[in-house]
Amino acid sequence: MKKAVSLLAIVVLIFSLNYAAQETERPLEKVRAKYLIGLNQFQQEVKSFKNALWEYRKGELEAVQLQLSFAKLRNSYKRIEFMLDYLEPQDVKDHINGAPLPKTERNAPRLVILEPKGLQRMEELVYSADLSSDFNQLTELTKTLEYQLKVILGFAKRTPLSDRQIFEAVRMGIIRILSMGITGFDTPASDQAIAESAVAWESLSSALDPYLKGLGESSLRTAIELKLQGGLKQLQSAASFDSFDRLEFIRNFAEPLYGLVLDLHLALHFETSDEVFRGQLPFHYQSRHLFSSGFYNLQYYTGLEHDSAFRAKADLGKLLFFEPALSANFERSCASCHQADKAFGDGLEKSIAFDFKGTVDRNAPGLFNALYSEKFFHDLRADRMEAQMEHVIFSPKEFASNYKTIFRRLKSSETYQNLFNRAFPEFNGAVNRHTLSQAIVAFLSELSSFNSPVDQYLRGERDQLEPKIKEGFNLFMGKAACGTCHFAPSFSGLVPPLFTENESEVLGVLSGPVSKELDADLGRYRNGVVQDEALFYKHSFKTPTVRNVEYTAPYFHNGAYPNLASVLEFYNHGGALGLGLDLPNQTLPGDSLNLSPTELKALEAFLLALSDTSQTPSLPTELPQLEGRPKHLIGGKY
Amino acid sequence: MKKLVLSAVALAGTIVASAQSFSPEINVTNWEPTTVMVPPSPLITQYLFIGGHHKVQTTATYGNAAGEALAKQWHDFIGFTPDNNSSDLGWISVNHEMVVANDSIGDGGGMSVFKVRRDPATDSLIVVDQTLSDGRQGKYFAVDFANTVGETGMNCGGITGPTGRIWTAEEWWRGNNGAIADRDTGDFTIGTGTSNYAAPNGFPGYNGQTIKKYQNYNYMVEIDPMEAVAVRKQYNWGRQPFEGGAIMPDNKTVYLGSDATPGFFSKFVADNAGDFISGTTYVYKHDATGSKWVEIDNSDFNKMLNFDAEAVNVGATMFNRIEWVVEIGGKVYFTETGRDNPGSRWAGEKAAGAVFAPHHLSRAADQSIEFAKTITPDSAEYWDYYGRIIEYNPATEMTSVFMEGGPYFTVDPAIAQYPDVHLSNPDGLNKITINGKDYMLINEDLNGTSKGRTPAGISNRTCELYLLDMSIQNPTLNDLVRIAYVPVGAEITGAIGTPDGKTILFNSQHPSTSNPFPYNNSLTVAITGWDNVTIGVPENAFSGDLFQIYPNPATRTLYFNATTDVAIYDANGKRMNVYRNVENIDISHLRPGVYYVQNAEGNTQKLLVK
Repeated sequence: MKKAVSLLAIVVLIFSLNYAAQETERPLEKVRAKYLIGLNQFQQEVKSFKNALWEYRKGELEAVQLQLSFAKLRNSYKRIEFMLDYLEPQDVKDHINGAPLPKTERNAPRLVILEPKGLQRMEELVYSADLSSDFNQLTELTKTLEYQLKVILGFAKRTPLSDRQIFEAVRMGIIRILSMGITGFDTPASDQAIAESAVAWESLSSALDPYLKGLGESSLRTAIELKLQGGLKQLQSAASFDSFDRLEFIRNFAEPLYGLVLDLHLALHFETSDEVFRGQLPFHYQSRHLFSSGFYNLQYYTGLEHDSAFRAKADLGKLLFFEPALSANFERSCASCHQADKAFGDGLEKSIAFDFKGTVDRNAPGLFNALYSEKFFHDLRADRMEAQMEHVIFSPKEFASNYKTIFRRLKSSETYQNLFNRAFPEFNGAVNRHTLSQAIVAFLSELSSFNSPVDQYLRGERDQLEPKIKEGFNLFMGKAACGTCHFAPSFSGLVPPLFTENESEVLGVLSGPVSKELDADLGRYRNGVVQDEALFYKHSFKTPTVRNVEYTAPYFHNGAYPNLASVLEFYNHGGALGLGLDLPNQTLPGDSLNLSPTELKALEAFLLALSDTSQTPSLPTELPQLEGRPKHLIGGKY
Repeated sequence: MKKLVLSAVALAGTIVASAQSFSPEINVTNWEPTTVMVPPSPLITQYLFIGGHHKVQTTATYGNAAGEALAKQWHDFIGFTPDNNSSDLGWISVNHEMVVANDSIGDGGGMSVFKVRRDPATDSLIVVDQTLSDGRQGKYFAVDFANTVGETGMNCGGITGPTGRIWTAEEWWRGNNGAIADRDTGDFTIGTGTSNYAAPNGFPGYNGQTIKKYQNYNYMVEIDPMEAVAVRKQYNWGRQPFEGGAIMPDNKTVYLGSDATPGFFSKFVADNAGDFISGTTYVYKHDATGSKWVEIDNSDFNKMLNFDAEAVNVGATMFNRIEWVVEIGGKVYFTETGRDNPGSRWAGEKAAGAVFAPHHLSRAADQSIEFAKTITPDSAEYWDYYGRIIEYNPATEMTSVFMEGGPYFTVDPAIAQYPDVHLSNPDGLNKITINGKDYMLINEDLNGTSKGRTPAGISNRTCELYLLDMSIQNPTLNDLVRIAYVPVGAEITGAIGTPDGKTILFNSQHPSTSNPFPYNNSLTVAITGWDNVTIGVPENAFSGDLFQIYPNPATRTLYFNATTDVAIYDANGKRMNVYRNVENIDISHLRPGVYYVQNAEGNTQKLLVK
């Protein structure tokens, strides 16, 4: 009996040795092991930095040496960022590398403000002019980071991983590098953004390596390796943050690599998120390109399926968009403030109010790509398009109407009822809040704009781009720091790489370009959402896309800036703070960007090259007749 | 109904070490594998009440005539009031956890009510037409708070009393008039209202007291679901960030929880059964000598207005965010939803004399070992990621942990032993008695997605509804049976069973807009037929080690006899879904038809979904 047991034990032992050997050969296990080692090294660097802080306090270390120690710490994070931020984005945001701004506690029973923690806040202190007064805070933050990392490491050790996740993490890593890495988003003070991006890029390379080796000799392997090596070389040989050629880096390396990694994922037969996730994701994983209309998944943002009834919905939506019967006085429609020839803005500072009684409170935004958003309005008060439209319908300054009246009017028209029947067979043609808004959303979802000359160039479909535009792109994504809020590829406040959240910013917009007075609008702070009643949301406004700004002047929520030059000038001076006004919660840095007139011109040239209104729909030639009403003017009277 | 299933015996196939990748396609011709039948679910799912879609009947409010308005969203608590005087089943009351100015309904969140009847043929629910005493006619009614008690807001949890009386909890804490959405922020006099708008429903003993408008929030508020009006704010239970409460079968004793750190556990005992106007108010102090309940004098309105400060003064026991409270079998259970690092939130109260609940002290002691330093619940390091369910025994006046949340282990289990069920941040808590058996209903509301609360990376981060058989002694996470998911982005809340044990009602709150209609709105859902189905997987469902599938058609779940990787292929052999490391999967997305299920070892079975 004893013998049998030990024999069995030997068999089990041999089996497990074999198993272990096999396991270590699997790419997944290699990547996982590397990740865990990387996390450990990150933890060690936090400890080293803590020691450096002590030495600095004792006077044994210069500030420059402390900065060096901090740079090492950040690099150790950059080596695992693509995994950690993919696996545990909330931990990264809350504790590791979140924006250095206060935020409100999630899912709390009352308004609780959380002070910023993690590397970005630490960096501000490490590079602050008055480090000695901030020293205790920096020490506390370091200890907190050490504690959080210990907890995170505990979980990482027992987090099961699958191959699919490695590929998702790598592709998100590419997005992160091009939108947040080379733009200096998370390391504004250190001037290390490009060097850090090189570290992050190299980590992607090392994660792909075991999978590539498994391929043997193949053209796909060669293609990927060439892109990885080329990208790394460009990053490592960058002379300075300002001079790094972001346009060519994205066009030659980041964009094509994004597609090639997908090819590899599929070639290895691993499942994709489409086979795992029960709902919609903000992006199409199967898209090979970032700067294309195929990248974002509109259904995630709208809930609208592109099914056989879509065409009928969009056609109906177009009529409704231009239908003045939606307003109480039959004189106004959506198109009153969103005009097709102005990229669906209206060219006014603030749109005309109902019955010509003054104006509405804010500037009418353009509507191209407007649906790629988590929240709507300048103050982010609506969390869905239905709610957005509702505000317009009920607002005494806009439609001054209500659902009952609108539904009654629409149903009185046989034509409309037939169109609703065709568009919404699943609801038996019901005319209600949902079908009304879904029809208009279907129409708006065709207003996509991802095919500007810049997009074409980045996708490699166009060979030439004017040097001025190139320079402008590189300024936008670099020295001028526009791309750290207007994130690529949407160039809006939709935050990469998850694209689930819309940022708002406190810019310190003035009542006009020559004014010395802060615009009085409190923005997000007074949007009626109790969870947003935090003081730091005073004067905070949604970050819109800068695509098609060529047509949407005047600018900002108050429409007080007549042209792009005045907007760029505003930023170049650092907003209200830059003018010496008192706005402690301004999120736009108050120092000057030091952009020369030539650079400002180049930025403007780039912004103008982001135009693409090719999807502007034809206008309706006729609106259905409502019972007992004369024919309506398409789009209303004013 | 009998079990509708047969366990399937797997064919011995080629054993491979693991399923690194499942082939994108499999050959499905000339081949007859073991077939597993999934009959149609005998459960009936109905979407009874859709926020922003159904119209509610309103009273004359703010100068606007009585009429009709679209219902508010953000459904939370559900109350159920049986109708003992007709063949109808009863009234359903639904909270709206929001504030939004509304000319017809009022500026708070409020409640909507409707009445249901059971269809004798199918057992499904029918929303019936009603005419109320104030002349309102229709199916759905907005509860009038504006003209009765002076508005309400952020209506979260609540109480269904033993006779079906309903209270709603005003949770979100209001610290000043800037934090309320009211159009009228004038001072409020109890029993009178403000100088602009009358709110005559006062409270004996407090009438005539004048307070700031914001101080008229954060009470338990009784409503009359039959007439769709608020009755009174329960000023004598104190002004607290209430989430939940329960009234004992004696119809005198009320247990209440406040959602804060610290959160206090309080009690009200009525002088006479069913009369909650006069009685005594207490706060729980587990280390008191003699009774653990310390009276807070409710005849002193100042003490009621500053209830938390009074609780600290008497050294009350501190919990970490108490959510819902329920009575089952004479015991009281409540959820403590947790807060990641609560240390700084209750350090001040600790210094002022309040005491930590015993389980927090023992958790801190465990964490002291983990971090090799002394940790107390008010240390910055102290963590409480998952929350738990607490049991309070009225006989001993002691609390204990009934079920600890989370996927936390001090020693890592082998992957195969890793529990499939996680319980994170339990929130809503209620009960249903099915065929004479008591079950606890547990609703999740995640405070976060980190720390193992949801799978890492892009994953299905949804809240779940669990059923727990209360006859199980010392239940563990593995005894929880998941009975419902909610749409992506939504919180599941409000679950309650109907008294006849046939229907579970619950709310899907704030789902993501990406869900198709009606799932993009807050929904009150009814699932009927629980008296006729097997719940979960029976103990004897599997025999032997070969790959076996036990389908539970009622909840559209496939259970496996071992944790494994699984791929689902369509009728043509094209890969549709891959699941890693699972013991059961939800197949509610599979339309009737033929599918194939392959496990990590490459064993394939045919699935016939009806």
